Amino acid sequence: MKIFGIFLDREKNTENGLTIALPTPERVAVPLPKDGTAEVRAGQWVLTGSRLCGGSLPAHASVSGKVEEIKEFDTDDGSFTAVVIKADENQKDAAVRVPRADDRESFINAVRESGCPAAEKISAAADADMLIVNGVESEQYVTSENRCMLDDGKLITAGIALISRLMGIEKTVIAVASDCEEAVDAMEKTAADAPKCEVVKVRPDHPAGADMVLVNNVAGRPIKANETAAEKKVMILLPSEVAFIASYFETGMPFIKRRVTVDGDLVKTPCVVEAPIGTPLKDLFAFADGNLLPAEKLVIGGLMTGRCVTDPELPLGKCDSAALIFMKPLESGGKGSLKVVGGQTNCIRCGRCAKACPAGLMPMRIEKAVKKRKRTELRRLRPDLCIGCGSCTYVCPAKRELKDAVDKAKTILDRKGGDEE
Amino acid sequence: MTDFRPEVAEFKKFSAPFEKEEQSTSKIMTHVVVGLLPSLLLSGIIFGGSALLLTGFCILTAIFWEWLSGMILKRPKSTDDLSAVVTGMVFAFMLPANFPFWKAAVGTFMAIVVFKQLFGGLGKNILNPAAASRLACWFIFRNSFIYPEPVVNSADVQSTGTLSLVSMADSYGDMFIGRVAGGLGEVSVLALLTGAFYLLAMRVISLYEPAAFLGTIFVFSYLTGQDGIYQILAGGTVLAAFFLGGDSVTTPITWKGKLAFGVLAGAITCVLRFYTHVPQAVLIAILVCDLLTPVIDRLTENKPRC
Ligand code: SF4
Ligand code: SF4
Repeated sequence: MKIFGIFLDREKNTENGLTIALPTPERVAVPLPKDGTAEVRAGQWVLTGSRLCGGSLPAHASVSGKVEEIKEFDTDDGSFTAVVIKADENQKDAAVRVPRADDRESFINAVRESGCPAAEKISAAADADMLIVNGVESEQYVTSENRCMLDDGKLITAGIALISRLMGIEKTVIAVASDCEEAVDAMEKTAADAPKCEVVKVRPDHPAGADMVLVNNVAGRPIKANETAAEKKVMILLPSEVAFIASYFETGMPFIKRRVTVDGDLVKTPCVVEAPIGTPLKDLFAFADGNLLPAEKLVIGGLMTGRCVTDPELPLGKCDSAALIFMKPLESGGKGSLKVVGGQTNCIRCGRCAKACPAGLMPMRIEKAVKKRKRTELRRLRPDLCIGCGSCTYVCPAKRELKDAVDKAKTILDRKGGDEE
Repeated sequence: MTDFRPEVAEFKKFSAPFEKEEQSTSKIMTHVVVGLLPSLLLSGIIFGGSALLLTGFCILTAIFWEWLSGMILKRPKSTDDLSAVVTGMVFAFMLPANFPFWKAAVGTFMAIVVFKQLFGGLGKNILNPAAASRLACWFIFRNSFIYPEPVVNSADVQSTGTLSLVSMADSYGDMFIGRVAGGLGEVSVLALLTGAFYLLAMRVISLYEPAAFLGTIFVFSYLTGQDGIYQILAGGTVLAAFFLGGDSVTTPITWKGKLAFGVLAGAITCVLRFYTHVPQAVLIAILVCDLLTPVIDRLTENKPRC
């Protein structure tokens, strides 16, 4: 049984633009992984691509220049450390070593060394026999993977060949939303050259690009909401990650830049830019003629599952596919109305949320049980299976904050104790 | 709104998802009102201007009670969601055209205040307010339910003021178009179906409940030797199927639940009609199933994917 999602107004303004390389920003703040400590000191000079820290996923300098400070960023979602580098005028690359890999182990280690987030996914799905290249971007505005598929077809072919040879992949599927015709064409060419590879067009709904949905609909392996793709022997990588791995094994340059969509109603020239990791968000908006002054909402990632931040100084992270700014929660409640403040009514039990939920949950019941703190009922409703797609809140005509309620239900269940009626 | 722009951007923290669909409760209610308009139009043609006046009066009083109870119970303003308009309209559609206005006002009072606000407001009422109040009115104002002969009537109908279900003498065609005695909006099956089609196309209601309800009545009648089509066309059955059964608040959430609701309501209707002399069989059936909805809901809950 296929999992069907909901259709969104996708507003992909940047679909047809080219990827523009961002001019080297004045300074960048490269975020370090939680378990990594900086290997550089303030005042030291670094070259583009030189290592900044070790740990599970090393970070590398994305520009060359002088390390100004090791800074602690405090956000509402926790804090992280970043190395602030002031870029110099003549950007110089470090002497990088082209990695070699002849088996699984060495391949995974090499990808890990590059600092690419794909390393985690590859090592988790080390015994997978199927690779899905996830070219589905179901959320509004986000286009960076789409752009990558159009630009980097050759690299993706090489990447697929490399990964399937070293990881023992028997079959590769490139999943593309059926309404992205150009990307489908580009990927068909790619697939023709790659070994045992085909393109599958998926229904352009949300969350068609979620792991669970891909494994179920594309790989055709029934999956439960609490299972991971790796358990079903499926490895899911983004096109940009596949392309990066190919280029890494050609040039040896680690993961220091990524494509990011800059868009929103305050951005005059929406575009996809290739920016060094750690570029402050305000530089991205400045480049795209974004007006930050009247802005009220700053979203990193897609509108459905992204995160809201309050500081435009925050750096671009390794997994951030888009940076969006918006002016205000439009009171009119019209198209693209962002988080309407009013207009909330009691649940009218229309069932839209339950129908939209890919995990088969009943969000309206979860919300009610949370309000009444009924733990036994919550345990039966399984809020822990939620994959966080946000569809329930999106479709609710009564404008209930269902996803928040489900998140709250998770924390209630995590706490110990009996029924608090 | 003043166009005051701060010097520094003030970002606020929101939680994902950051965008919502355009759909809203008031839009859904507006759709229902539009879906009821064809019936209103035909009731005006069939019963004359008094039908329109009565409907308008019911809508206005319903909004008034909603506003008043909101004030007294200190609830947030709820007249905007237009649910009161729908309740008033559906309630009026089940009245005879010459129903006294003050009694209609009492009826909308019961619908809005007693059967809705005292249960906790929109979405928390267990019984469909319009149906519950209509049934209560029927018991309280028994002698006001005198059904006038339609203004436009086909010549071959002699029995004036007798409901089709009682006389068993109306032709299919008359009942389909609405040239029979009955409640304002419930007589014309044609108009009701037009509105229902609109609601189905707008995805405001689903076909599960009405199909199960009407299907059960038809099959039940067929098996017991009754005229199934007559049973469907008569006695406000179609109004109940689409507009009482389509009320999302008082019917089950999942499609399985909706089917169960329809089958159960259809069966109760037929049992009451064929084997007892209890009047208002459809309303009683719907209200009984409304009461059972929490149970049906619990039994037909979606299973999480695990
Ligand atoms: S409950 Fe979770 S998985 Fe289901 S629709 Fe809501 S956010 Fe998505
Ligand atoms: S979508 Fe909203 S109104 Fe509809 S059942 Fe879910 S919570 Fe209730």
